[in-house]
Amino acid sequence: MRESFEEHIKGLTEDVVAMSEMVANATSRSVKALADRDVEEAKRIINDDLLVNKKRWHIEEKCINLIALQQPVATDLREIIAVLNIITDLERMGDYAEGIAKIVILLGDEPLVKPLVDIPLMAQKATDMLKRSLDAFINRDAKTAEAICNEDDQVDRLYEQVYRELLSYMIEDPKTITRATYLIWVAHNLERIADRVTNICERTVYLATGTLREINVSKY
Amino acid sequence: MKIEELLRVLKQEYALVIVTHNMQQAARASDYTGFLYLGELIEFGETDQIFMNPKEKLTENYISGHFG
Repeated sequence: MRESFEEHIKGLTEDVVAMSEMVANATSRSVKALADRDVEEAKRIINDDLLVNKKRWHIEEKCINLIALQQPVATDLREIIAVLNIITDLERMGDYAEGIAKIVILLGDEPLVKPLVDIPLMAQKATDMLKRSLDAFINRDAKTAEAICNEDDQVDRLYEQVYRELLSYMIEDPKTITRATYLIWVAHNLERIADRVTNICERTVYLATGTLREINVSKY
Repeated sequence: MKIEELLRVLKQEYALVIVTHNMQQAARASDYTGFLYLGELIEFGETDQIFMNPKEKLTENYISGHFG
């Protein structure tokens, strides 16, 4: 009985890791599609988001079955509750990546207002935080999870930089307003992705300690 | 269930102790839970805490079905 339950929990963790890899991949691909001005790739990313959503429902169903059939308590229950919350965050992060792909399509062939420097950095930082947050979750490492939360400030600072820079472009030449606004949306989506990573970290702290609390409130 | 309802009424005037191996019943019917193992009191606390976040590993292992 116990062995079978542990198998299920292990399977659940593997599913969450697989889902997080799908989301990290979609995020990197969407920013690359923006840099390459690759509308076809953007369409594929939008289509692939359906798989992320499907994965989320699949994991949620597994959680519901485990609660109904095994009546978990203590760490087991906290783990399932944490997974239910994490998949909600991951699904939303997938939507943010999809949003970036939609902006790639909106931009079409229009030239970019400026070369992409901070936006790829934001994507890199956010996906790196995401990967490490999942490692912390698997290892139930509350200390590392808290440290990752604090790294969100770096993404916030990059966002501020992108925002200020693009505003100055718009002031200088109003013809850039639409294109610059699109890039601000991209940066905003990446900033939100990093925020959602902090939610995942909060769930790891909950799993490891049993305490529910907000760790690093984002500026945005 | 009827007995548990009666316990709920009675507990307003009396201190009640239930000895049970039924974990769901303990979680449902009590305000405080003690875990006894081989004649020794391992842990005592509010029922919510015992079932959500027990302090003792032995309690955790028992309530989550690792043994017993």
